Amino acid sequence: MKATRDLIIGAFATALLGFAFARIELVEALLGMGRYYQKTEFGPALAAVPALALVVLWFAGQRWREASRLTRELKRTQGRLRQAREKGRSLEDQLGGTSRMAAMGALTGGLAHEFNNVLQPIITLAQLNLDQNDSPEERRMRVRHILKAAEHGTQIVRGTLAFPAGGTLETEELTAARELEEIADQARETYRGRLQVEVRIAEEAGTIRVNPSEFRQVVTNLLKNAAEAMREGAVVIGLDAVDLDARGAGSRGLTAGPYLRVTVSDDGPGMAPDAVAKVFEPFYTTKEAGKGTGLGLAVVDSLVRGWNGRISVQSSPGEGASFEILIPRSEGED
Amino acid sequence: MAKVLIAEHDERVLDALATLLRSAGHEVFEAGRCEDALETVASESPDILLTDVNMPGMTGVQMIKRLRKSHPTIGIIAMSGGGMHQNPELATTLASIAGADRALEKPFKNEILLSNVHSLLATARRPRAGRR
Repeated sequence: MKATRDLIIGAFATALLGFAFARIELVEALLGMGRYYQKTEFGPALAAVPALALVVLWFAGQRWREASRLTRELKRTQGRLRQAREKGRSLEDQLGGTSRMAAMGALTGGLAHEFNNVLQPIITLAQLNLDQNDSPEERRMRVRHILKAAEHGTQIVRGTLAFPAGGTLETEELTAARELEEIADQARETYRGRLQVEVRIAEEAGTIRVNPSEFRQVVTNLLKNAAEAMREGAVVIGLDAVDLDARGAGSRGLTAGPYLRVTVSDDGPGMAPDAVAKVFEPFYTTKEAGKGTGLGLAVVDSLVRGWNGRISVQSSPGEGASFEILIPRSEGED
Repeated sequence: MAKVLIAEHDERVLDALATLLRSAGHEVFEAGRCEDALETVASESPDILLTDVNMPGMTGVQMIKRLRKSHPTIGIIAMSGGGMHQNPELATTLASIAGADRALEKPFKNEILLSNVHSLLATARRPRAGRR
């Protein structure tokens, strides 16, 4: 028993002293342990045990430090690898986006040239007809409609060319309420029997500084989108004034101040979260091949940004979709 | 009234503009290519050339540069349907640099073209100085 006790005490003391004096008094500790064992009944045969124990501990410590260093190195390498992958993916996305934008620039430029050449004879001959025609007023009114449609086409082409830099056309003070009522009337006519179009306008909605044709293009496009999403249903066009504080504006990438809010909400099939996230991206479409260009909402987004506004959408499957446009109110400006 | 030559590769545009200018009392010559337009300039000596910038073969800009040297008194109106990627004014700017007196972006209204023709007629017979 005594021998076992001596052995345990010796080992414990060795470890304790070994840790305590490992760096500065290692030799002295070893000698001390040796001296202790020499006084016991086991004699000098066990005098080497503390030294062996310390050597083993020292080697174990070295291995542990080396393993820790390798683990840290591995984690750093994994982090760098992850960053490199993310950077690569981001560059790929940018490259893809740049290529798409360049292709779209060429496409819109070419289309604009063709379309302008189509519009020129329509405008020239319709106007000539209007100037010279002594036909009944009803016929003259139809010719005026042709001219108005052609002029609207001209504005659309110019607006498309302004994409993606944002709207660059001349802006004017616009009473949005009146414009929305007119757009709604036109939509009721266009989607008669399919779409119920309701307008809810808050009093004192105010005015905005936009290009009227662009504004019409934006709202008409949202209505068209709703009509295409459902066979029949209801669309509500809303208009009210809101004041955004720094927090509310900042989260939308806007500056704090008075805004006019236009909403276009439908009770259609809605969109999955994936579609909601991509709906304003150029060339993104949920329509079947050949049915959609994927440019409509991208152009809408670009035009709204051109007015220093923002567009967003709330939607989920089966819950319809609600587009919200915020445009700075221009009341009180010179 | 005046002699107006229209150089335009799109027949629909050519016909419409010719109809408009004839209805305004001008004598109109038509060309679908710049090469043909240059021949008409040599044979008919028009007062005004109305030319598209984007023409097949010799471009409108090349024709304007050449005519500005050989026929300094002719009034030149350049027109363009855009199409230079996303800068619709680039074509007409180039035409102005080449020596066009006026530049119009298609589609333009009748009164715009007619007023440009009329105002140019007042100066068409004077040599144009200071062109690049």
